[in-house]
Amino acid sequence: MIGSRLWDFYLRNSDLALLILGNLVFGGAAVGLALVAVALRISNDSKARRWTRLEKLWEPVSLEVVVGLAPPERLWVLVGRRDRLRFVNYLLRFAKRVTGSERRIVDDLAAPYLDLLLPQLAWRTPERRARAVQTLSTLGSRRYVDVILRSLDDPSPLVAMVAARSLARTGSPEYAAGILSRMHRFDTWRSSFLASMLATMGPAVAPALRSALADAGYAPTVRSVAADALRELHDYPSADTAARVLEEATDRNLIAATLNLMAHIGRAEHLPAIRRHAASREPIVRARAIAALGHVGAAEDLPFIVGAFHDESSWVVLRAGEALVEAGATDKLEALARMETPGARMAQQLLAGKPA
Amino acid sequence: MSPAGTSGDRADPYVRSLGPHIDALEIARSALPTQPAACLTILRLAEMLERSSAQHGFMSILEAAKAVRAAEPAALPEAADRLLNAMLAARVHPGMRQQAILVVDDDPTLNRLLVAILEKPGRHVLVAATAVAILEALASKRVDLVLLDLGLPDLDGRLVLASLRKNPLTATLPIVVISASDEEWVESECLALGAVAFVKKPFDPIALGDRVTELLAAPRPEPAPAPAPVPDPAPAPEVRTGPIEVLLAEHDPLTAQIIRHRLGREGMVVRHFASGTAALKAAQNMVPGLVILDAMTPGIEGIELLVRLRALPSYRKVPILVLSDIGSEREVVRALGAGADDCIRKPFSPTELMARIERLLERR
Repeated sequence: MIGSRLWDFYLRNSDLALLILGNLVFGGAAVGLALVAVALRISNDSKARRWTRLEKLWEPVSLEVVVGLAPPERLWVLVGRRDRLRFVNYLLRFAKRVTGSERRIVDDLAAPYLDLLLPQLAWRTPERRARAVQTLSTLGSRRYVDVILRSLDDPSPLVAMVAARSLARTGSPEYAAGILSRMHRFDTWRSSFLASMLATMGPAVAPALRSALADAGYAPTVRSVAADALRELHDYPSADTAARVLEEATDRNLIAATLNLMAHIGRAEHLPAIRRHAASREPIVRARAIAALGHVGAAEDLPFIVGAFHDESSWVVLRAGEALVEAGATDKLEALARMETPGARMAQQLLAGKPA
Repeated sequence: MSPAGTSGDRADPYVRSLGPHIDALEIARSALPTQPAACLTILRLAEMLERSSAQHGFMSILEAAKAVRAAEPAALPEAADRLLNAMLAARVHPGMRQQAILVVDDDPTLNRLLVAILEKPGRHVLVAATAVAILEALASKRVDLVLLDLGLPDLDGRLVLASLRKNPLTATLPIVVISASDEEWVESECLALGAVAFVKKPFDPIALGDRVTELLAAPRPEPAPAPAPVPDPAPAPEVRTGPIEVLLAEHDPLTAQIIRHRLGREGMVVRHFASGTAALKAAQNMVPGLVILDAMTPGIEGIELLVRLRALPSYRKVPILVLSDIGSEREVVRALGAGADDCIRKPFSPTELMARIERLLERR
């Protein structure tokens, strides 16, 4: 009955009927979406309240357990089956704040639940996988080293980087080769960041870095990172390796990084290797070579350094000025400051800033 | 070895106490041919000397006393003579007291190795495998040095170290920690807890032997005597008897809670302020026994707060410890220069923090 009336209305006023129908559909959808949003909000608020309640329940007991006043069992009984992963996340807060025997207690508290994170390493979201690797490395001590080593080959460079940083933090040089062999995957990270990461492993990693610097099988970018890391470590035994690299390398960045290393650790016998790059076509290489000559060079290099003061690259001019200060040849710098050349102003500034 | 065991009026108190025993033994020995009952006196003396010589590390007397107790009646006079000679020799050469080293490790192979490395003439090595065995050994024998492994089956070695340091009788006993841990914090924690040295496993036997010889040769203050009962219970007016009040300026609530719990465990009362401004305001109305400042407090920054606190006359002698997130040399120097008594880097070991606090409070 109502159906036939609506049909008659549609036949008589089809445009109006369609308009009303459209409005009803959109209105219904809007109400539906609003209801979903409200439901989600209620659900999230309820979850947040639940987490807050749980943390309030855990906190006093965890403080007692962490400072050794209560056994871990007192806290474990408060962790429900569905809250185990939440509990592991909660423990990360303590892991960031304490070291020593208390930190070991935190690791012990997390130990029974860490295996639950392993399935997360196969999740599709790289961020989730990276988070799982980070949690395992933070709370799992060395128990999960194999898992973390495998994560170096994760399809996502983010996960691989988290794994590499975790391994570097262990300070164990045995992982250095593994990290170096995957270094090409980290080409979107700054070379200085990668070098610092390797250098945090300490002096024990130096032999692996020296091998990487000497090995032409590695990409020049990786060898450059190795040179930078050796410089951060002030690894004097790598000077001979660096000199050999300067003899054979052709990559601009590798030569520049090696010259930078040489400026810190080079000795007089390495001067020929440095000098051969002082007249390079690449300004960055010339600048680094002049800087290295300033640190390691002999009196016979002074005319060359003075000559570099007239270089077309202002970087080379700056390094030449600094090299003259380094070599104690301020008389030459004063003479350059009096000349009417573009570098004179830089010489004046260097003289004004030089230590008395 | 203690310089008290060398000569003259600074001789070991045990050596000085031997006089009456020598007299008694001489009398009993001379009476033995005519009065067989004197053998009972000799045996009783030997029993007593066996106990006391073991406690004080006089192994020659110990062995002679044991021989007396084990001797057949016919061999007793000869054994008594040997005991007498051993006692007389100890009086003439008081420095002959054997030094005792207590090796504590639950690995029997390592214990055997350490005994082989450390045992020398004039020195004997005792072995314990558990924390309970350490306490038993220290209660029954005089020990000059302890080599302590951290991984004991019944208790963490660090807790053993801390409890030995708290005991007045073992507070000055040199304790060398031996550990396979390659984590830096373990070493710093042990040194902060009072270990005199930290040796990493695997160790160089020659270097370890040299280090032990060096430590045994170093003078060691006599242990503090056990507190005597005080007949008059009236407390001195200047002595603070209540719990130590701690002013804590720390912006991170969880770190503050951890510190509060750790210090609360030692009976301290912590008043926490989340900002430098609030801490300074509260400081003007209280004089705590200790101040702990976070270098990064909001409001007034930690180091500035430190300077302002030191400017208050009542805070000139209050120990102040700074917690630093950065922990760089520059920041540590800045904090110490501004008047901090100590500086500790975050994240920190609460046990190490407590050990440092105890030292600061002792120094004051």
